[in-house]
Amino acid sequence: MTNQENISTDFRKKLAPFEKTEIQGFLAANGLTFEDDIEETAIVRENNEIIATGSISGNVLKCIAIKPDIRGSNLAGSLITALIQKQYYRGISNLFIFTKPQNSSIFSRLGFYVIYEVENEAVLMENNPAGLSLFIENLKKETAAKQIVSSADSALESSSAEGSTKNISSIVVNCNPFTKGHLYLIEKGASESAFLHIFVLSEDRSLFPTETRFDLVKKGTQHIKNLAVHSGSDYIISNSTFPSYFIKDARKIYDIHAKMDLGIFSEKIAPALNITRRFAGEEPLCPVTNNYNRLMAEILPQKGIEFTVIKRLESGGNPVSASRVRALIKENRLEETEALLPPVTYNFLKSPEGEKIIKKIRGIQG
Amino acid sequence: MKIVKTGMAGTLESSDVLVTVRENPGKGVEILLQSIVEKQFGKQIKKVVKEKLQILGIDEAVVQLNDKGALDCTIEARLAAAVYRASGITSYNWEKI
Amino acid sequence: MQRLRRTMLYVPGNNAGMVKDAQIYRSDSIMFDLEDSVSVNEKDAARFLVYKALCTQDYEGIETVVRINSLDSPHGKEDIKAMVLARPGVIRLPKTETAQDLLDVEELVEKEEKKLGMEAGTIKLMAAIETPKGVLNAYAIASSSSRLIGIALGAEDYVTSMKTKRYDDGIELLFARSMIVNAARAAGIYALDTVYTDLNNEEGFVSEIKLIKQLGFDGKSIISPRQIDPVNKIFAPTRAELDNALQIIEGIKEAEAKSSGVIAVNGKMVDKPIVERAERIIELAKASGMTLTAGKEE
Repeated sequence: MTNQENISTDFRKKLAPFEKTEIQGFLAANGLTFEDDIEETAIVRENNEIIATGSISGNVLKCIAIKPDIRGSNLAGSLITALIQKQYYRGISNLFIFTKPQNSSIFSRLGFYVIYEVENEAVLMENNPAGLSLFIENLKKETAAKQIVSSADSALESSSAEGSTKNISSIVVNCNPFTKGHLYLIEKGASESAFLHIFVLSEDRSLFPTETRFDLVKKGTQHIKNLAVHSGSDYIISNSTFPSYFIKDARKIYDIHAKMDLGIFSEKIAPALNITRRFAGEEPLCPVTNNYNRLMAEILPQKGIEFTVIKRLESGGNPVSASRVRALIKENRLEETEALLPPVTYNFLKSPEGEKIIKKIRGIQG
Repeated sequence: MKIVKTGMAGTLESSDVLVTVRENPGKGVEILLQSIVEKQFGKQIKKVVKEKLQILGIDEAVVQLNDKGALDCTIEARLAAAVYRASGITSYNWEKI
Repeated sequence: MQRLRRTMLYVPGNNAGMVKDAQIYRSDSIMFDLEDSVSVNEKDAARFLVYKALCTQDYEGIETVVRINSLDSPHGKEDIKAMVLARPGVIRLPKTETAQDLLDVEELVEKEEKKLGMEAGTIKLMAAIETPKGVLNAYAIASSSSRLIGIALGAEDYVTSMKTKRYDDGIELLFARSMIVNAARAAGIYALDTVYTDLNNEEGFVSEIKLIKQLGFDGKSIISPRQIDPVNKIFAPTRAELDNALQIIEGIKEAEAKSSGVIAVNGKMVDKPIVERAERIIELAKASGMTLTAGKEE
């Protein structure tokens, strides 16, 4: 108890500029970078010198570093405890860490379990050893509920009996917001599948909140019987929330993210639901999404999942896209979005809740 | 007592234990133990946990322990704190703790 | 025989390692803290930890004290409920300003004792005085309850309220210390000094211990086991003091054997206060590990 007397741990929501520089320097010395979506940072100092730091963002612990010559003392335990407690007090108890594979043993001693490893590059860990299996169990329940209602199980049987091309397939969407383009993609996918699993990304970086995006997709696809809408939860990993603070070569980030996200999808989720095919919309506009389509085409077939790109729905010579909808809203041309949106989304935009989001979108420009 | 949410208590400091109690509807009590003294004391720790859960009237829960060499009384204290937090109950029956 | 309370080792109530090892340093008392060292979010967890430790662990005769949260906070009542059942030697009340503050705690303690079928008065009380108002009420507080075994100065908050800070010479605390030691003596209870927080300043610590010994304090709250030895050393009697005390006690025994009414040692009259002082010196000497055979060869 005597050696801790000069050690203090403080949390900062907003780092003062000098402190941020200090933390960035400390992380850089440990081969890490500071990410800008961090919500709170723990700073451990001994006689004013930083000896450890770690941050939280959503349900992720990241940018964790401990001064090399102090590693091995129980400083890691104290730091991770502080971060876990901080998360717990704000109501988050299922926690994730993305880190280098060589660090996984440190975190497993601190109660984290490896969910998936991209060899030599990255590892995803969670503190609830049953987290992924509970997620999958829940997906199966959601699917069963939908199959009973739609009696799609007969379709499933017939497809396998005929040995036809009708697989169980999947689409991952963000739907920020849900457009006629998404609806077209889903309808097309469903018509070519015995059953279709739709995963809506769960991340709160989008202008339309996760629950709204999920709700609109669910309501807007109610008429299609052979599909289930699931939340992507923590296991369909959005590029926008993928922590890359530990990846030295920035050019590799997209690749590593894709390998992790698609690895979990095809090795853990797809087998549990018998998914053998994944659809994606053609992406002529957004280079990031287009690149992801390219990576899916490369990776998924290696993992035994067929990958099919569906051509975009067009309107007035342009592809229907959520970004176009957001642009129209920004420009105060709400009426024009009606042609691009299914009624469920358009009606939502006219609701008081929708109005709030419209204001938010306009505010960004102003 | 009934577990209605995730409850956590304790730390990863030496001589302490971090206990997480989660719901486990329909699946009884499951104990997941990770301990630096697992070989010597694993059985004893699980016994302490089981008995304490019984006294507290918990028959459905996943209890995860990351033990850094805590005394039995520390394990019981952290477990009780996590269980009460997970049950949302703040009137304590001290004689059972 | 009176208990020595030279050192009261402060142990943060939510620190499992420190709660577990608190007795190995052999301070006179251990004070488990549920108050300032425990964040609001961890009040429940600390209470569970200290409760189980007190119920289970053997503190080997060392006095156990629990500093509870004040009754103004949402935690104080539950602290009392749990701690009376756990039976530490003493419950210490923080930020005591009036005799009523203490009586309120006493009432709750008594209620719990009764509920548990314990003899009334089993749990002793101690009051920390940490405000200007508390200092002025020192005697009223000190004489408010027969359970009260001592009053203690908490200087960190006090100096802030006094619009000053702590200085090396301690002049800013002279009034408060004098009030407290005087009130304690008038009420016949112990007087305990505040913590010294600068662990790197050994010299400053030693001069503070000398000062409080000179003022008449019984001892001090300490924040690290490292502080035990310096306090014990300074509170230990000198060899000459001990020899003198031993002679006095010897003289009393001889006088009693002879049924002599008047006792004189080395030509000096020995009366009750002198005997008491001699007894106290011998207790301190014993606790400091000094040999009790008088060094008459000198």
